[in-house]
Amino acid sequence: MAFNILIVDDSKVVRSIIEKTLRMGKIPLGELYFAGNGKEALELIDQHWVDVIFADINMPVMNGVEMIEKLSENGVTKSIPVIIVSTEGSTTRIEHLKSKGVTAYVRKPFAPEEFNSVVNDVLGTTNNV
Amino acid sequence: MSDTTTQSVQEVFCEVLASLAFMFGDPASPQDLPPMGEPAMMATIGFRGPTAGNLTLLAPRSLAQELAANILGIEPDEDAAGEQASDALGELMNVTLGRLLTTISGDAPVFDLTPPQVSDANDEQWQQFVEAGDAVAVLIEDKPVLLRFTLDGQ
Repeated sequence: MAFNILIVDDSKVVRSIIEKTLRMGKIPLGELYFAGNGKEALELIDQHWVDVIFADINMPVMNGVEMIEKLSENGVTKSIPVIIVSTEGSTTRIEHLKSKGVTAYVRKPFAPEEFNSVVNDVLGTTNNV
Repeated sequence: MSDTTTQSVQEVFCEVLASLAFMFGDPASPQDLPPMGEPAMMATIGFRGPTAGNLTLLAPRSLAQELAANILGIEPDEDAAGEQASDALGELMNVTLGRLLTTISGDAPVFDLTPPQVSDANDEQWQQFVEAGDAVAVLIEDKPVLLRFTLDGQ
C-alpha cells in the first residue's frame, strides 16, 4: 500500500530533508504534497486525500497549532494522522497538541533512523532499509 | 548576557550545526576573529513567551552555501546550494533558538518563534556586532560567525 503524504513547513530545505528521509527509509510513497504554511495545507487537503501529515509548528500565515485545531474540528480530517516535526521543546505545547489529536512528535534535528521509526509506528509499516 | 547564557549560545549552536549539517564550530572571542573578507549574511529570529527577544547571526555567504549543500547532500557549487543558502541559514537559526530556549528556560514554558529573516549584511553591521560587547563568536572551518542573543528591553 502506498501512502499519500503532505509535508507542511515554511522551509523548502526541511521539506526536502523530510522527503529524502522518507525515501531513504523506503516508506511506500504514493503522492507527495508540499505546503509552506497551515493555510496552504488545509487548501491542499480540501482537494486531495492524504494518509499522513508532517507539520512544523512555527510558520507564517497559519501556524501548525492553528492548522491542527482546524483539522480537529472537521469530522473527516480529524482522523488523518499528524506527525509534528519541529524545534518545539515545550512539553506544555506538545501535550496540548496531543489532546488535539497529534499522533507523534519528532524534534529537529532528527536522525533518519529515529524519524523513520516513528513513521513506521504511525503507518503500521515495516522498516525495509 | 551572562557567562552562562554565552556558553549556552555557543554550545547549542555548535551542537545543532553538527547534527543538522555535519559541520563543526569552535568557540572563539569576537576580538580574535579573522576579518570577514567576503559578502556576509544576517539572519534574525524572534521569540515571544514568558520572555521575548531575538537571536541574530552574521556569517559569510559562502558558509551559508556550504550549510545548504551539507544539509541537502549536494556539492556547494551546485545551483541549489546557492538558491537555498538563505533558507538553510534560517532553518539553522530556527533549530538553534528552539533548543536554546529549552536549555535556558526548561521544557515547560511555551514560546512562539517568528519566521527567520535573512538578508545581506555589510562590514558596518559586522563591526557593530563586535563592538556591542555581548556577541558570541564561533569559528567554523576558519570562517567567522557572530551571534547575539538579546532580550527585549535590553
